[in-house]
Parts: sequence; C-alpha cells; structure tokens
Amino acid sequence: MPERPLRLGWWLSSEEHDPRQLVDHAVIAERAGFPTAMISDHLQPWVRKQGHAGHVWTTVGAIANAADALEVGIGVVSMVHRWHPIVVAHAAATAAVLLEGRFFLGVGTGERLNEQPFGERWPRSGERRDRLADAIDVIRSLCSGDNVNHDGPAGRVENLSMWELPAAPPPIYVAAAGRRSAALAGRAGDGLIAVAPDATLVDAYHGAGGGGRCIAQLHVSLATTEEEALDTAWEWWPNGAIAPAVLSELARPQDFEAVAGGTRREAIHDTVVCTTDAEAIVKAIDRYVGAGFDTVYLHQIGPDQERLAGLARTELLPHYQPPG
Amino acid sequence: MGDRRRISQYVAKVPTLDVRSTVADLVALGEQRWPTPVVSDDGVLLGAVQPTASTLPPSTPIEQVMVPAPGTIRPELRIDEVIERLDRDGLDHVFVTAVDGVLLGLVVSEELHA
Repeated sequence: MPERPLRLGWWLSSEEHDPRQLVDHAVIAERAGFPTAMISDHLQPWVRKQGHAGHVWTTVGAIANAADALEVGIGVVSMVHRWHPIVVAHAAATAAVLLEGRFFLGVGTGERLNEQPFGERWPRSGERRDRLADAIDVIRSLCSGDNVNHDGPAGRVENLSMWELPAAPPPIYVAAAGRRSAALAGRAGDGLIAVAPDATLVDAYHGAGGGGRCIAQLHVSLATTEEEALDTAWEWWPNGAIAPAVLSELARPQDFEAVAGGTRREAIHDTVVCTTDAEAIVKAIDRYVGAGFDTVYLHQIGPDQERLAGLARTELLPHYQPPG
Repeated sequence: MGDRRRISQYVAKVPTLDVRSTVADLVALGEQRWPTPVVSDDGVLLGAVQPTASTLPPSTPIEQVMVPAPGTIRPELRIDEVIERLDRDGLDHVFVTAVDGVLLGLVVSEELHA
C-alpha cells in the first residue's frame, strides 16, 4: 500500500485565542496553503495567562462559514462528564454537514482540568478508556443513522435516530499517550492522534489493526531571536514543561501554574521547538514522519500567528511539496 | 504448553539502511510494510524508520528521521515467549538482535500464529 502524502496542518489553540481570532487564524492558515486545521476543546485554559476557552463547536460552525476548502477537526473531545456521546454525535454530524464532509472528530480520555467543574469523581485512566470505547460505538451508530438503544459505560441512549446527518459519518481519530490508548485507536478509531514522535504508539496502533491516518501536534515558538522564542513559550505555554503524566490529573489553571513554577524554564525545550527559522521546525517534523506520522499540525505558541503562517507559506509547505 | 522452539527459525532478513543514507535510498528499497532498520557499518541496529519516511524530500538524511534504539528481542527466546510479549505490547513485529547489537532480522506476529 503506497504511503499517504505527508500533510502539514494548522493548530488552532482555543485556550490561547478569542473565538473570533480563531476564525481569522483558520482563514490565514487556509490562505497560507494548509489543507487541514485542528482546534482544541477546553473548558478552562491550562494556565490563566492563556486567557481563553471558547465553546469549540460554536467556533467550528463559524470556521465552516469562513473557510472554503479547509478540513477541520476537533482535538480532542472527551466524554467523561462534560459531554454525553449523544451531544457529541449530534454536534459532529452537524459540523460535518456545515463543512460539507471536511470534518473529523478527535476523541480522547480527557483531562481533569475540563471535567472537574462538574463536581464528579475523576475516574482512573482505564475506566475513562472503557467509557471512550463505548462512546465511540454510540457516536458511530448515531452518525450512521441507526436507531440507537444503548446502556453502557459511556451512558444511556433511549430510542434515538438523528435527523441531521452528513453524507458520510465523520472519521473518528483517537488520541493516545500510551500503548493501551493507541491500541484502542487501532481497534475502534479511524486514525491515531499523538503529541510526541513516539513510534511505539504507531506500532501499537498498527498492531491492533489500525490502518488510518497517524496525526500529531508539534508545538513551535517562532520568534525573531531564540531568547524571545523561549520567553514566549514559557510565558504562554508553561504547561509544556510539565511531565505528560501529570497533565491529565490537575484540576485548575492555578495548579498547572504551581507545578510549572517548580520546573526549569529550559524544560520547555523538551516539547516546544523554540527557533527563529525553518530548519529546526523541519527537523522536528521529520522526526514525526520517521516515527510513522503522516500529518503534523503546527501549533505556534502565543499571539504572533502570522509569523509561522508566513514561514509556512514561503518555506515549510514548499519544502514538503511532492515533486511534480 | 506453548511452542517451546526458539524464535531464531522465524527471523526474516529485511533490507537495511546505512546511517549515512537518505530518504532517496529508502525509496529505492521499494514499498516497505514494516519499519526499515538503520544499521552501523558493522551491522549494529541503530534505529528504524517507518514507511511514512518515504514521503519526505529525497535528500533528507536518514539520521535526521530515524527513531533511535527500537525495541528488540534475542534469538534464544522461545516462540511462546515472543507471542506473549508481542501480544502484551500490542505489537505485530519486533527486531531481533544478537547480544552485541548486530541486527539479525525481523519477526512478524502473523508468521508465529500461522
């Protein structure tokens, strides 16, 4: 089977930008030549400095009205307490209609940050994974037009057929930070989402039967000097210095600030490419592709989104353009 | 009682890349189903590149792309041990190396279950 051509995508960070800016950024990305964009789903920002957390489905509707050809995905929706699978299926089907098939749904096991305000117990990761697997089944059935009666870990559905269906159900990509979730992506998903160039996730995804896209997020801080790039990353994305295992377990932005405050500023280099030019970004993208990913979403940290869009238009996208 | 024979008889030879090679050399190997191992001059396994790497610009150095130190097993393991390990880790393949790190080949899960 020939490999899918590499795609570069644009990351829309709901926790850093006003929803109206996010719509503008989607248009900027499309004009720069990006074929796809992915938008995060947050009820609260990671840290207070980020300052935003708009309702993602509303923002996606506005993007659908503003963009002409851009594929848009949400990365990622979790269904622990905040969303019920019926609500997600309903919203995903409508988004797919508005975007005329250019929508995909990213799902994951969630972060306590976005679930704790509901006042419920924060389940362990295995329980959240079981709920996610169940929720994927429900969403698939509803988006396929089935009449659904269901009682499972993700919740109940009583005698529902959805009335607003896209021509084809949207693909469901599953986020994974470990092998068990990557295996779930292989069994139940249409693709894998990851945030590190970890080939073991790709292997586990394929080993469980996954044959769809493997997509990843790459954090970038592009600035006029490397010091400024590091300053911006540390100011706007200190959560990038926190160990991944902790990210899903903290409840409040203040908690992330406290944990990040106990790390070294330079630790941000482990997860963010702080640079002034394309070379370091190309090397980071190449590492993802060598690890098995076929789509890499670039997340420019901080307010200066035009800087990365400009570099992508002139250097990054042409660099990866297939010959001919 | 599982299959107690050694895994060595299931080790398949696979094409390799030199650490100084480029994506053009990977493409020249043809389509690959499994990751392609990257080896040193004396055959020691240094890393691996997934088939997706063939979509990168041809001049891209393999050293820039490869994932270092992929998981390996030894040829002395029994078949039932390898099946258990692959199932546990959710993998469908694994590289086999000698004790000095020299690549011997690849074991594929579906071959063990055949």
